[in-house]
Amino acid sequence: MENKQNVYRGMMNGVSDRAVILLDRDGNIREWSRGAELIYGYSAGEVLGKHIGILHTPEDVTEGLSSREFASSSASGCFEAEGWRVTKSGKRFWSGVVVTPFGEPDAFVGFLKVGRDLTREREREQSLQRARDEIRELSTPVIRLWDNILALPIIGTLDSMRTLRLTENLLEKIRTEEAGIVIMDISGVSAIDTQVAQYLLKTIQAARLMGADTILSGLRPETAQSMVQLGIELGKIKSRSTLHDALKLAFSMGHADVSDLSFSGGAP
Amino acid sequence: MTESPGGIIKIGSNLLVRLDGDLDDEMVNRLESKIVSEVEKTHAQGMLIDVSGLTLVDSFVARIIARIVSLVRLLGAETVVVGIQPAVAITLVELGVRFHNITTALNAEQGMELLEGLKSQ
Repeated sequence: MENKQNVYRGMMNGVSDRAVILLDRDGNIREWSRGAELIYGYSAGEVLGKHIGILHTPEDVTEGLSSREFASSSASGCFEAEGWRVTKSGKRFWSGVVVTPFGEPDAFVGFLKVGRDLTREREREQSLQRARDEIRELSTPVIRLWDNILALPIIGTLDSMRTLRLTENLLEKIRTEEAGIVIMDISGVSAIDTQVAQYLLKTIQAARLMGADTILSGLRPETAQSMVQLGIELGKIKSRSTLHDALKLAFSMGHADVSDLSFSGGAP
Repeated sequence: MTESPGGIIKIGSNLLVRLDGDLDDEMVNRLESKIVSEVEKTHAQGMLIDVSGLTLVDSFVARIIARIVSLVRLLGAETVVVGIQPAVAITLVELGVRFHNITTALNAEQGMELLEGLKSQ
């Protein structure tokens, strides 16, 4: 018995990065581990006998977070969630908690609550998400080159989601800019396999339905070679090796008034 | 500009047909006979089919558009389909609908320009 108590104490206080808290059936704190002290700043003496609600935000207290936690924990045997908690100094941190009912079914004792400070993980996850959004934004830029000429530089790898987003952006821009020609620059695409060619063709077809013709530019010789070897056909789509040549072709296609070039010089 | 019944408008030597709302077989039949009689009556040499009112397009509607285009061509007039919305364009491509030999333009204005070019060829 003595031994079991020691093992139990060791478990309660050996984990310093987790707050281990024992609650009675009403949610009052009965045991307070060393980790709980480190995370929340309260000593055991300060919180024993108090309701778990002192660690919750006022909003959560009003909404009855603890009863909700206990109810789902009792119903499913375990409850896991993340949310804001408040330390002794009033500082909020993002916590991941697991609430497990303990005791025998016929002799229910209370709840075991294990919490972790996930503030840093959450911040990292959020900044990662922001970076992802930014990259997504950057990955489908449509630039207006001339009156009715758009450029769509494609960089990196294409998958179906990205192609769809890219197509949506392009079509929207065709409509707002009343563009008649799209120069799709693929010099930033490292490899074009059958799948990627299919994606590009779909985008080109959709642009065509909106009344815009597409000129491919920047197709590298080795890419062109492998496309031919793969049997990828671009049909009637025009292709130029450089953006410069593609733009020249665009002007000659009669959709743009080239006379503007000679005296305006800048963007129209 | 004289308006004919059924959303067919004559502009110069061209006709403008608007497709909108829910199309069914019966309506399509009526529209086709109207187009035939209008082209005959007005000696139109070009026709714009404005589909900007269609927000949902399935393969049925796509077939109807293709059918009207070939009908008008048989009557000796050039056609340009205008006003395909971005979402509709994506749907058509995803459905695998290929508008073979169908000329498209962004809006009626650009379509009209294109039509003049086609007629002078």
